Amino acid sequence: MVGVNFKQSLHFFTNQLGSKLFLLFLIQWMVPTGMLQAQDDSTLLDLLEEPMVTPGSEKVHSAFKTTKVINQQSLELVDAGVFDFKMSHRFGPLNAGVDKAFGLDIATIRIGGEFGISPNLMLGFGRSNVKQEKNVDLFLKYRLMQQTTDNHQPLSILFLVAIDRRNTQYNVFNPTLGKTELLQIPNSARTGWVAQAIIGKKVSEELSLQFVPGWVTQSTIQPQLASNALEGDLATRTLSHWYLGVGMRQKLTTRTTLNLDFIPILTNKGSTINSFSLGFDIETGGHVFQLQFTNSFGLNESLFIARTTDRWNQAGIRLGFNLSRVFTVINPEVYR
Amino acid sequence: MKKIIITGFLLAAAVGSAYAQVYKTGTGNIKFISKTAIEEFSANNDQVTAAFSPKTNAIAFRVPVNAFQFKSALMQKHFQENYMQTAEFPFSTYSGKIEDVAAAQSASANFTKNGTYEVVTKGTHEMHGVKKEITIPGKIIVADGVITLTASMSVLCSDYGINIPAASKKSVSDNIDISINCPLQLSKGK
Repeated sequence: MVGVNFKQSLHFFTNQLGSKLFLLFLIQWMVPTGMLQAQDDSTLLDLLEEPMVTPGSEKVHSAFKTTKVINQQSLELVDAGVFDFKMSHRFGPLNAGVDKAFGLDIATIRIGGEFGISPNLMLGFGRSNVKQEKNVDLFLKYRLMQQTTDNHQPLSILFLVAIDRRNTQYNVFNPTLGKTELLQIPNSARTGWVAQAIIGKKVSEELSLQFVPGWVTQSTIQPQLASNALEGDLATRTLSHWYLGVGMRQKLTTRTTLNLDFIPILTNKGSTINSFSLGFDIETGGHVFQLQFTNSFGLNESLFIARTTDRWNQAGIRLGFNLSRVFTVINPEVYR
Repeated sequence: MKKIIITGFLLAAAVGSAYAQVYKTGTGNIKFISKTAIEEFSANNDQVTAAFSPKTNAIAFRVPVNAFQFKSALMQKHFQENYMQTAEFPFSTYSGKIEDVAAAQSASANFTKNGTYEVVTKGTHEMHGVKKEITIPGKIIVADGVITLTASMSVLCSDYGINIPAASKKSVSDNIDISINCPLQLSKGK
């Protein structure tokens, strides 16, 4: 009986289940068998093919060499705990003529700094002497989304809010009192605001591209007019614009890039000229040196976006440079 | 049909035992130091994968280059972008074999007994897209089922096509000292 049963079950096994089991074995063991052969000494490395860090899911860094394309802010932030000393300088326009050494006699300077508060938030500030306006500016730049190598996040998106204040005091002649006195200018007329998004992508190791839709409002004080005006009737002009900036960089070598920075104003343009700049980034260790040609004199957002008056086609081109030097203030391990 | 089934089981057993011989880690450590007269800096990587087969004396390392952590975030970015071009070459690898286990220690073959074994491995090192045959002396420390691979070596950046610009030559050394410390554990299954 037992023998018969065994034969029967074996028969059943081979006929009914056999082919299925065979397939099962085939599927289950063919793969490891292949790997067994691959276990030959030189390919032990293959066992490590599954990396612990998936290179596909990393954040994309270094879309630009520094936090500025030329004038406009770039997709980059200063790293958390790092202070970036910034100095910008613009000569006068080429068309200032031989009398002013084609602009070399004129110099506007901004000295400032940027500090990485957290990996996605940066604070910046500066003081500039543009047009004797004693301009102080302050801004916050926040990264909402950072591009990843696997394109799960195909873009980087940042926001910038900037405020600046002109601290110049103007003396005007008061005919009623018969003497000069300080012109009283309300804060609103001294203040400029900028709010913008920075949306862009490191397209390849060489090419990065960004678009900067934004809004700017600022006032122009005209003291010459004000002094003639009746008391309380201050000659200020407030203008608001929408704009769409474009920034681009193309690597020339590992440490040098060609940059383009164009900020066309979309609304309420009036006599304002669009800011257009071409420049080079040269990186050496902790420094980034930016050399540029631009038609803007302003060194903070509201000025170069909304108050550019020179034209490229009239040789209203200024030579300028930005200098960036980073200092690690807080050990990066704190933020890991 | 019976034969096939039996062969299948035998294969399964063979595969199982072959894999049981491999020691692995995904959290090995590699450090490097660059020293010049005016500047010294180092970086640390805790995400090194390594494998060792005591049966075949084969050794392998796979190093995600982006995982090197520096004390300066900018230095780290420059290392990735300007020196190692990690977007193009994300991993450094080494695949080698132990050349000679010192004679006295060869008695306790296959690294089953606790102890420190001085070894020399010979193999192929690939870094920054350049392959080189190199020999690395190191130690294999066996302690209660954990096999630790340690070694100190130095490499020349110029050997691997890693360009140090003239302006940085005073602060970045061509000769980089590397130390490896990877405790491996028996890898179960795949």
